[in-house]
Amino acid sequence: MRLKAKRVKGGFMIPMIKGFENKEEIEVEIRNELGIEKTFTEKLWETVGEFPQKKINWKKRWNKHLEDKYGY
Amino acid sequence: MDTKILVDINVILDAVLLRDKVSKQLLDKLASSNVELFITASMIPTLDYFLTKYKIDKLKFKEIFFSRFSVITSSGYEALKSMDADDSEDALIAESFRRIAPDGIIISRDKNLNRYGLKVMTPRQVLSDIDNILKREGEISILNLQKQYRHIMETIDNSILSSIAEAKYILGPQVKEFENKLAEYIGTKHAIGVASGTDALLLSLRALAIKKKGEEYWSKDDLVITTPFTFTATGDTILRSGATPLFVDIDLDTYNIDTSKIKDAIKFYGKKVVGILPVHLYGLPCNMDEIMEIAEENDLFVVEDCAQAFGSIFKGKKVGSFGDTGAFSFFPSKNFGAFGDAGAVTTDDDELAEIIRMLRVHGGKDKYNVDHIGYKARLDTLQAAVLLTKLPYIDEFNEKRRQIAKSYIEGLRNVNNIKLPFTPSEDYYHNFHQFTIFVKDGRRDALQRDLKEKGIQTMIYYPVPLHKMKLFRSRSEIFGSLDNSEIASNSVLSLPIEPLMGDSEISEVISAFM
Repeated sequence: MRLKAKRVKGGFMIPMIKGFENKEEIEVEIRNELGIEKTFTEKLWETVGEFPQKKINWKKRWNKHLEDKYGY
Repeated sequence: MDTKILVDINVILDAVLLRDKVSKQLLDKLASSNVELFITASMIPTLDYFLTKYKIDKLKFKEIFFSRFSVITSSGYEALKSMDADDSEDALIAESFRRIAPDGIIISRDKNLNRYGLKVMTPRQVLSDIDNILKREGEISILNLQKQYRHIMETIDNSILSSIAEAKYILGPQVKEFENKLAEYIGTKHAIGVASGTDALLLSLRALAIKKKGEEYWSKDDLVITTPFTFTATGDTILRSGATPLFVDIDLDTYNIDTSKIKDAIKFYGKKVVGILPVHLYGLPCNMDEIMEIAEENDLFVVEDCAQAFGSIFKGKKVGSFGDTGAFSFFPSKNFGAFGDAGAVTTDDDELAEIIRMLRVHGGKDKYNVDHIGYKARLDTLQAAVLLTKLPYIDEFNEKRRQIAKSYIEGLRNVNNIKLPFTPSEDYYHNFHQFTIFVKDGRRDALQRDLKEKGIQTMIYYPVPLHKMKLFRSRSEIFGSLDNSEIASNSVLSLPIEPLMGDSEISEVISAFM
């Protein structure tokens, strides 16, 4: 199920459910209440320990790793 | 045509590591659709490097990610070929993907991937055309062996490559392993892998002649009761074993042999009848209580033709475990199929098992001690390896067929002029190898043409009953009328029923009748 949330000062207002603010624990409760399933990427996010802080050229980073590994 | 998509590692990482909203949105849309998603084995080291770098829980990641993505084997040959290109990494990805999906799409921002003759689109391009890309195109085919292969590609490729490398091509360890697992699955003491379902029937009949009559073959006067509404092999193996098929009509509700007519045929022909060969047609078991009771009362053998009924159950027991033997076919189009010809015989009888093992290797216990007229009818090691890999999926696939059948029955129940498949009671677990309808009022051929125009492929099993074939005209006995078989052959039509069919395909088939 998808909901469109209106951006308000301090977070998001979920329509038809007055009083809720954008707090993580409330989101979890709402998900469970409404039976909202996590998306594929959201499930994958939960496995990530550390997110990169900037844009990365993955190919260049991988090639650099190979160069470092093989000493050229 | 199924949509097959390879997603570049960069796009995957952008989505998973929150670097790009478009990639994230796209991956979610693709994952929740029916498209087939791939990466290649050559991409795994790159993916793995970044999973380690960003401290990703690899076990959980694998479980989630590979629930939707399949890994395409990258071969040594493809790797060598890729070295001709400027970017061998990209070339290898393209070559491997092309083998599986020459009509597929690569999602990447890397413009260099365009060089390899495959369709390449950026995430933004795909997202903007997503409805068209997700739309299934082309016919709904009766069978999709390529898709079935892709579904379990990693384990199948591994089994085949390992078997080839081991080089034990004839009765290798995979054959024994498969036989043991098959016997356990069916619930018999023995399972003997043979070269085809036809061989399974023939070797069963020959072994029974040797055991019961002390002769290599039955004689022409020996009658084996069977149905005429079946594949040729059921009848021609009776002939090849020396006996004569005695055709008895079918029940028009089940399409299986009418057991009440078996009793009448035996009353008429008496001691000439030596056995019964029931066929569990389309995957619906015969009434094995009645058949085994008749066989016991009259001292007849029973060979079950289970070619279409792998995993079907009668009163809690798998078919193939009731008769003296069960004959199985693993032809590629069967609900449990190999990658070529293959079959097996199941039995609880030690003597029959021993004879069949001899018959499959020229008739002897070894090359130079030959007791019987044998065959070259071994199960190939490679096919055994494939079957071993597929066996764990069979119950799940049979259940999916039953769910599709349930959808068809619900969706088509108000359609005039057709009769839907019938299951007599809860005692029968129909595996729905085929979903066969009966088309009334002589409209079968017209309906088939109509469905074809709407992109729905159908098949007729079987358009000609055996007693109408030249082969059997002067080489069979017919008990009573075979009207039901003839009516069935003019009226039946099998719809697509493929365990990997999506809901949209099922709906399309149903809608085609409206």
